[in-house]
Amino acid sequence: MKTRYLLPHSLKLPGWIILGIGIVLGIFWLIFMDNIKFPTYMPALYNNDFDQNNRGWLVMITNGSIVDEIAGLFLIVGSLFVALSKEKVEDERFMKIRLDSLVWAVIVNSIVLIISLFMVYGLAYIYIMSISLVSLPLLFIFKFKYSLIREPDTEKKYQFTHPLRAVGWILLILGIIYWLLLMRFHNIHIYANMPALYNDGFVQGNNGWFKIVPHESISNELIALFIILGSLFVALSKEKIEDEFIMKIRLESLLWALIANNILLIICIFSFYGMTFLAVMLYSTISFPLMFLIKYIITLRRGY
Amino acid sequence: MINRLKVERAIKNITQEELAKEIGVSRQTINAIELGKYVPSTVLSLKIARFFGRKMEEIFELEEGD
Repeated sequence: MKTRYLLPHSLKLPGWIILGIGIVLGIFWLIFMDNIKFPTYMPALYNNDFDQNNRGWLVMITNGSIVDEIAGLFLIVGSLFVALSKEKVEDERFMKIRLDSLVWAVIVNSIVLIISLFMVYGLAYIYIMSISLVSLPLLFIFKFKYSLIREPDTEKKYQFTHPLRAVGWILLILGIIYWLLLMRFHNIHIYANMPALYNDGFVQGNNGWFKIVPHESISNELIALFIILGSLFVALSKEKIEDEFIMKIRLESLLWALIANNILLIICIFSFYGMTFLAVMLYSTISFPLMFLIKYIITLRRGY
Repeated sequence: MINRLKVERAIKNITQEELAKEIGVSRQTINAIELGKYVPSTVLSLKIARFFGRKMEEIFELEEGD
């Protein structure tokens, strides 16, 4: 019995090297962002950067710095190779630890992401979003390596109780309905005075730690919250008859979603520029849980 | 791994659904095992063997490449 969606072991070392370069480039870019100029003439699927003359679909743009795109590419490809390549001697125990680590990483990543969405504002928010593009595979790699050293209790399961499934569906449907409505009607945004852990931005003054951000739209955040929680509650709750085979389907759906989501991310990184890329980053918070859920349900219904 | 699950089931004349219920797994799981798409854990294999009153080796067998 082979597990699908794993990469050959030979990609492990190249993965670490690519990931290492990605991390160095990423940190370099975060620190010296304003000083790095590496203008590159390149095609864009869609661009609406204020600084550019060529806005619209299928245009050539002069990208101010290609360092961030390259860093993103390296981080995404490297972490994917490391996370999904087989161990030297792959066996079922590794698979069990891999599943547990992946589910743990998905849950922890979602909690941190949701807290950041609601409690960080301004420029810092964009930093967090950039980091969230690669945080899931990185968290997974960390947890997986740690578990291999610690010899975990493989009987322990990261699962929700069956009744949470129904709650998940309700949250998911509410989230999607509000999302669709918001695309059509712009006057149904929800505003609130939000207590911010950190605010650093365009918002009038009040920058710093532990500030109140007045009259902030939290519609997008609510949609993300509902869709992330909803998908995870549905896909990670026990089935009515839960068994080990269903756990395997769950793991493979997670692996599939990780690959599909990261391929999509790479395409987006090199296709969208300007404000549209901010939207891409926002969508990326819900794309993984949604892909996971859809793949899981289809596999469960259509048969293995 | 090859298994004689389908044969044993035919001898006892029970459906996948009934077997699944007896053992406490889903019908898809029994189906996947019979099709050779899923290798059950030791616990599940023992449960299946006990249900049919057989030794595990009489139902499950290693095949070349395992």
